[in-house]
Amino acid sequence: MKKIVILLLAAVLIFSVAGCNNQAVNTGEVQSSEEVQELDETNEENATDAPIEYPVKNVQVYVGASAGGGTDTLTRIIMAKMEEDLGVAFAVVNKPGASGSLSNLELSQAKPDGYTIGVFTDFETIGNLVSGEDLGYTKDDFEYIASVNVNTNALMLAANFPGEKTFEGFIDYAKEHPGEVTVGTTSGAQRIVLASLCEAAGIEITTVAFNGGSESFNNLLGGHIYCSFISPKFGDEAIANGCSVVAVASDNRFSLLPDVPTFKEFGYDVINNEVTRIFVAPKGTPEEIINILADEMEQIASTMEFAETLKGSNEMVKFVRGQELCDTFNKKYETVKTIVEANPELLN
Amino acid sequence: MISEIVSSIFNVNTLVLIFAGVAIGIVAGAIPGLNGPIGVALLLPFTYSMTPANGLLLLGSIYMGATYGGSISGILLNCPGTGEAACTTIEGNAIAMKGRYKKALYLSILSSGFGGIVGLLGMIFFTPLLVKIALEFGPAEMFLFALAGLTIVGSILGKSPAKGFFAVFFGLLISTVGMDALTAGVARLNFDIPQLMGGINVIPVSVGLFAITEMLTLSNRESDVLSSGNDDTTVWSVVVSLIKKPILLIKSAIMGLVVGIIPGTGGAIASFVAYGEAKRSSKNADNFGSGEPEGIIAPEAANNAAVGGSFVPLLALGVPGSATSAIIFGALTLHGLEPGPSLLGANQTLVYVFMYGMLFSVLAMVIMGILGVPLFSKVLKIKTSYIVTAVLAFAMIGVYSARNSLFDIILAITFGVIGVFLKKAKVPIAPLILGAILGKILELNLRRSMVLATAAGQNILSYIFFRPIAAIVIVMVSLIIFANFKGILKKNKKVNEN
Repeated sequence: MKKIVILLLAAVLIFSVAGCNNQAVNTGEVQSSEEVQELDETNEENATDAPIEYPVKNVQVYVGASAGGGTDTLTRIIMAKMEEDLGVAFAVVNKPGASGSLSNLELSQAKPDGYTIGVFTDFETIGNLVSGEDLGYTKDDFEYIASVNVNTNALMLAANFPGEKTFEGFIDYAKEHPGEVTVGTTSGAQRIVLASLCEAAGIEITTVAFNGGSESFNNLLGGHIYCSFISPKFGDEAIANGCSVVAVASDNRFSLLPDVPTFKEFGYDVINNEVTRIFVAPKGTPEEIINILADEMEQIASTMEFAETLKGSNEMVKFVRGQELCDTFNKKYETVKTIVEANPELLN
Repeated sequence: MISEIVSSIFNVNTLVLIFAGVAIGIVAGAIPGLNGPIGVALLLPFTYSMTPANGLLLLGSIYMGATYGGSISGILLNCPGTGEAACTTIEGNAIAMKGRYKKALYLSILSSGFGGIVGLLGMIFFTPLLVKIALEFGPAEMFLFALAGLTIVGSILGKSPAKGFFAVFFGLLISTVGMDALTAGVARLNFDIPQLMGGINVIPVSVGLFAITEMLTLSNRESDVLSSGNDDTTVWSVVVSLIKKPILLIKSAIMGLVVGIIPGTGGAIASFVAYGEAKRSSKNADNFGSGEPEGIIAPEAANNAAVGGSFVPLLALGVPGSATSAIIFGALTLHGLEPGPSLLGANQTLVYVFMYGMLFSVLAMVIMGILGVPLFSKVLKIKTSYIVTAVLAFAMIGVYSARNSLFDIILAITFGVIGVFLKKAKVPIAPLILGAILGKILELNLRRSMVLATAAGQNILSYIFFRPIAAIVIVMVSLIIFANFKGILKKNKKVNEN
């Protein structure tokens, strides 16, 4: 009952601001005429719906990680730009806990009016979704706005790695010493990717779970583990401390580590571990609003300045939206799910 | 370059920001629930438009101030504003209730200032050495370290060891709630409440058990104000008494510094360790728990020393050493800077401005802390009904800010009610908090060690114990256990003689 009232109120609000569409769109500093046209087209399709004026008040952005981490920093960089362009505050609200699940849960229950949006890391959320626990939400409880970056995981070998410090050396040593090679990981999703490598290469390794990249990296530098499966952003520091970066887990090479080959290049068919952070809104958020946000993010992602800032935090720009975004996410989800269903022991 | 550094620090803007940061930090620290990381996270957006040096100094100053601020509410109201102040509260409030509240406040700010300086000097001059120590800490060392931390419990058990042990196990139990971090998704003790999947944060627990419980008890009290007497302790008399304890101060500060550099620990653990060691080595060990000044000096020096320590891995490896330095790490990357040793190459001036500027944050903290003592003390003269209302309101804001979660407020209230019963049963709260803080470190690192031992084909015991740092930790653990047993035996003997 309450929901219906809210919806009615929202509808009244929407109708009452009819005719302000162009003004709203033009509040953005840089808005191409093409985008305006695009919006008009979507509006014509739903002739009964009046155009939405958005945003007219501050927007909350849920981040399922603590302040200062990679997801948080990326979100803050892009939200600072959104504020400049759209003229309202995009307040980052950190809701850390359970690998982003707490934030996702609250976001899925938030009012779908465009004033609460959120961000999650795709593989992390997929890892939660396939865990079989009741999370209180599913992947269909969100509208997918856009993703602006691409990242992956790299395999790094410690200075005291006993075998030859190359990818072949890693495989050979693991073959000769099954289970002795210890690899630091930070998420269930990472362990699933590594499991697919082990299956492809016919090796056996021991994964050690850490709470975050920093912890895994410290243990690598200290020689407490032989390898780390970790964000490429630690690459420079690893090499400076005598470690080796031997392979990346995405299908394509990672542009910040152009000399590091991929698992695929070595002939191993492994899950494409191309990690991205996806901006989402609660299910039912009007399509016009999703488009306004995606247009704005697309525009920000196309600037050189953004690319430079991301490079500073060792991230690469890659903009994906709409159906392509949903398809990529669903494909990753299905792949991981299939592997977990075939190897349920991965969850333990 | 030196002139550049000097002119960057001795700039009106920068100095104002340092003072503002410390003031914000002290207030945030004093409010139960708000602490260093939350204060820094809240102010982070304001640094976007500042120069990197000013932004970093503002955040660093908040961190420094918040680490001290928690002791003010601990001493005066018996509800520590932060986990760092849990030990200080035990002795500080006991002293304050004897009417010597100014003495307790002066001891706290002066020890904090000393610790802050030692921590920063350690960071400035010994970063390469200290980071080597930090890297020695793998899962086995972390497990032993947490185990050593747990033996500190013996020092804070209070009058009844059985009740103390109950408290610490309750704390350990709380730390096991939520999604198991080492497997992909095994939920423990979550009672099908999705919000419990993320575990129980220490903040709602400590705010509930300390602040809410204390306020509920206070609202039941007869008298109008907390303390009617006046304390005429001067700051100089406290300075003199501190100068007489150089070894305690230096020892505690160095412990704080070293604990601070170990990733995943922080000021709260540093203060527990220093408190335990102070009690072990003290001539007045019997007086601990009923208002022993040494029990303020040690934890306060240690927790502020941990601030400098937590910047060491950030500067040397580009890896943050605590939750707060993680946010400062984020602030660096937001400015397009890459934390780590390359920062020293590319932005040498920035690094030095930050390092030396932080010394001024300690100065600002000491000035404000000393001048603030008469002001803070006024709290004792305010009607308790106002205090209860204000503290509860602020505590709710604080708890909510930690994870922006309404569920945490429900948790805090639940623990507040549990706390009333614990208090009635005379169960000490500090061991419970220590258990809740250390539980995760203890469990995760033991299980990691087991995985590593299996991979190395070793027995878990030989894997953990046959390593250099292990020897040091084991000696420390034995000494603490021995000292506590001696204490208990002595007490029993006295009872028998009487």
